[in-house]
Amino acid sequence: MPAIDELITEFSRLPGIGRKTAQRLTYHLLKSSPTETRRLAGALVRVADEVKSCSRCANLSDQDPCEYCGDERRASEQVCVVEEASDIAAIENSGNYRGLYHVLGGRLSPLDGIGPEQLNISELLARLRDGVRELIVATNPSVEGEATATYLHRIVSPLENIRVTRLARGLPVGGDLEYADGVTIAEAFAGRREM
Amino acid sequence: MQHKGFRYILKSPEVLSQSDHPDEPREVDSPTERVILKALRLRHFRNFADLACEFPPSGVAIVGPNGSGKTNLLEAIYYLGIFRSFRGAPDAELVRLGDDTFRIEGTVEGPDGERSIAAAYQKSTRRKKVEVNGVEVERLSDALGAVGVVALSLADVELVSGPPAARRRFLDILLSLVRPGYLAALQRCRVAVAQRNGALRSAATAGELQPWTDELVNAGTSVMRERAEWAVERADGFSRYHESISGGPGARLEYRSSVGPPASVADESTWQARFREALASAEERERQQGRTLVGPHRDDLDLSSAVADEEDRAIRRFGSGGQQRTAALALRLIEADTLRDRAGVEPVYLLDDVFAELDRERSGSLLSLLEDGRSGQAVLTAPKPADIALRGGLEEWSIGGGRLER
Ligand SMILES: [Zn+2]
Repeated sequence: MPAIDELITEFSRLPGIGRKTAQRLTYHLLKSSPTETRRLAGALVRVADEVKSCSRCANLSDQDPCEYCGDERRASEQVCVVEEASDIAAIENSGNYRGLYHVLGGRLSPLDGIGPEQLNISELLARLRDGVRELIVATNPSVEGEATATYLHRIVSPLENIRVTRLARGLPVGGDLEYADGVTIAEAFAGRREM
Repeated sequence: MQHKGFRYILKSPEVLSQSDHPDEPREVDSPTERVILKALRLRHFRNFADLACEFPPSGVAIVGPNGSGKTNLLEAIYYLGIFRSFRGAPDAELVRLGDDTFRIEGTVEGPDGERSIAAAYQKSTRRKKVEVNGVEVERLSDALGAVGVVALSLADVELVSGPPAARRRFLDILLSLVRPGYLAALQRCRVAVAQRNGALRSAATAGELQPWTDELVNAGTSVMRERAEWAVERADGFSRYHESISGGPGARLEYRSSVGPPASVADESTWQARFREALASAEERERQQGRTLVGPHRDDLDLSSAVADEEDRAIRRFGSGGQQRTAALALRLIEADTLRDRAGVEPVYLLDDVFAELDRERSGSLLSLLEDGRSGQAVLTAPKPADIALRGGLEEWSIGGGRLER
């Protein structure tokens, strides 16, 4: 396959990018300097080679433990559960939360064959034994996200000395965490309630 | 807030004298405001290549033989109300043969002034687009009901004689238009049922099934309550319309829930508790069948004739063709009442050959019901020039070959 076509095809495999956009991106790169294009290629290679899943929280990072798990100033008695690593960036941008994270790697969805075993739930339970006092469930407000929250609450609540809280329902209906703005997320955290 | 053109549909129910006193006859002597379809343009829709017309404020009678596209025209007008075919046809079927995209544009005048609304669908990309005053809406639900419209058709008999799903669809469309939050709850409920069925089929443990049951109960309860409350509110009107059209007995309208006996108004927690009990007792069968057997997706609207000294009889099973048609018309009339009471605005009435299969008496009664206190614009179709003089005799246009002629 000719080089140009190959790149167009690769771009169009990305989410939200159709054939036309893929073409535009490709020709944009062809017009820019080779240095810029190589820098982009280098960044792609680095992401592929260096980014791993954190062995504690499953966040994506080039360090293990990741920058949050490795930061001793963060409050280790608070753990915030999110569906995807990309949700962490949204919460960090909101500015107030100073605890740790745990990435489930999805949400419960029997229709897609995703049960508790397919998510990082046993890892979460193991972590909770080390002095965690509050589990903040920040799964999305979708039906699946809510069901996942209910499930987590049910299995965590028998553990002693751990509060399970859920973000307040300030998020837009059907709106995922990663699309919510910082103020909204900060309010949802501030208004979180015991499940 | 950007679409101030249809602000009137967002009025809160308290502002309107909606359902506070369902037993009292509704006031009909105050002149109601109405929405008028002023102009319509169709491109590549069904059998129309390109059609443009302007409608008189009182309405029009469209006359043409079967197959001339009369119903297609009404279908296009209705499409501007809910962005779906009233015949339940998939969008791809609405595109003219050999074309890829249809477009419907309407100019509508309501109490808040004039606005334009357009809907388009492209078959190849499966993309649907809706514009209000030239601005594309982000979600279709933002523009739902921007054109208030009620369609009465011969096929409505299916509403009464057909399976429960037909009546649920009727309820779901209507309540999505008039009850804030209904559509969102319905969508959550559908997801919850589908996921819960998935969990049942994958032999989920009790602990794994529970979260889906919780979601179903939360979303499903509000759907069932809204439906049941609506049925209680409208039962009286249904009976009165049935009586007027048939010249005979009234009829009963009741929401029958799979969750329990005929449900009247109950509070949220009573419904939830009942729903949970019903699910618990069905669980064994549910696990065997791999699907959820209790919930809004299994409910029905019961229509029965109320003859004195006799047990109520389900019109669906025991009614004659005439009785079933009468009940269907009564349902459409309470649909119109619901839309009007919500918005304070008379909808546009689309009458698809409805007088054809009614006897003289029933035709006459329907005609007076449509004229008595209902000032809405009427677009009527008939296979031949009508002897029915609705709104003092509507202008008559003929239709054929994808064209309209005055
Ligand atoms: Zn980490």
